[in-house]
Amino acid sequence: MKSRFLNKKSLIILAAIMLLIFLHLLGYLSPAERLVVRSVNSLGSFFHSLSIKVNESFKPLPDKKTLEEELQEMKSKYTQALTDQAKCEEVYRENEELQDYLNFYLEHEYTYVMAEITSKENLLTAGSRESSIFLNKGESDGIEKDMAVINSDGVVVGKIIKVSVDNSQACLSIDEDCKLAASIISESQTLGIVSGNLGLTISMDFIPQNHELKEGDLVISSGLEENIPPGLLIGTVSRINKQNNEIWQQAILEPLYDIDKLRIVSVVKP
Amino acid sequence: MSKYFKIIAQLLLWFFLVIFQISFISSLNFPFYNLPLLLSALSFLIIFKKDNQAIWLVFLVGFIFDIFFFYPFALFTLSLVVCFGILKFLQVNFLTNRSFYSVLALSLFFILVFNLVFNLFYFILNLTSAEINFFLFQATFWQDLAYQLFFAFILEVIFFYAISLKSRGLRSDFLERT
Repeated sequence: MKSRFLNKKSLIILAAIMLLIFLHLLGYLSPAERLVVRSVNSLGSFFHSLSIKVNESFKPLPDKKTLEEELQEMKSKYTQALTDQAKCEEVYRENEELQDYLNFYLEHEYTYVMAEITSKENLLTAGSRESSIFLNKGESDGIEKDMAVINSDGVVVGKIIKVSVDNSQACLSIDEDCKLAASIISESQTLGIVSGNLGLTISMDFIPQNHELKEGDLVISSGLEENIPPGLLIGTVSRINKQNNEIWQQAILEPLYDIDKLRIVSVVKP
Repeated sequence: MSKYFKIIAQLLLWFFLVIFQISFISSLNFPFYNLPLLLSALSFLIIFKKDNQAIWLVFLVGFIFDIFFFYPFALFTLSLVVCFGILKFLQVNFLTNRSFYSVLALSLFFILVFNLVFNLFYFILNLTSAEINFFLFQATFWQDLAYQLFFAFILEVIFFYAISLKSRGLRSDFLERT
């Protein structure tokens, strides 16, 4: 029996889809849409957390040698951090005195919107288009496009790329389409754009050859983007690709967050 | 009354399944985020349910995805409806029995066609974007698709034999040896 399915019914279905699109564009579907998004948000964060626990339970345990090496590395980093802290305190004291002299008051106060991750960009379809996360907060909570997203340690994990009333999408800094205006804290004070590199690291390209960089240099937001305040930590320089016969050099940055453990993030409101 | 209760229960079940796919499965590590639980269940439903019931659920699932994600509105719904039409055409004209092989072939084809149709629509809608690459030339597309089909195969086996234990509507036939 041949089906006539592709005739009258298909026209009705197409008409229904067009009507849906039309109603959506006019905004008549927004109450239903908000209800659906809120329902998904409420359960989505729970399932996302459950998924993270499942991932962690299947991770292989590190061996003793690896743990010992990591412990030594952490100890030396801690010592270095104490040294840096001492230097910073000296600079801070000096800065306070200078501010008193100049009668100049500087205070950065950011407001944050905390949000839970409800989904990642691994959808029904094959072929990952971008590394991004979905948050359960949106315009109604004060979130706007291009705001920075940070984790509990204050490290930038990405920025908001799309917003609706009750949810938003943020690209991760390891995604090659996610670009952030950054500055490398070094003698040269290099300014540039960082973007993701193969979904694993971050890179800053087109750095002039005469800029001196070294591994471990901190990379922060430069403040040149309207919705991202300066001084937010993005990563540290882990490798420098410098060839004498090239015009530019490239810095590979290590992101300071683990994407697999992200559950709650904050959106920084400038 | 029980009929309406059944309908509401089914709608809630599918809603739960959608959230499970969006939030739990998508957050799993590679390659498990390719588990096409929702698509496999949907293809199963399309094969065995009446057209009117199946199309409503296709609309519901597509609508939820269209609302939640930031793709062009109705992209998911349109893709699912096109796949529904193709699946029905194949089922009515070629794979008319409900044997295991027919169900498996139809389901795998549904997932394959959905991936192609969705990505094609997305590519067409983003032709003006300089950053878009044609999906057929991306290795990740084929890799993820292979995993999806592999997981779909396992899921369909589970669905088919689980339901055949309860229902007489399925014939778990195998090809006869000649």
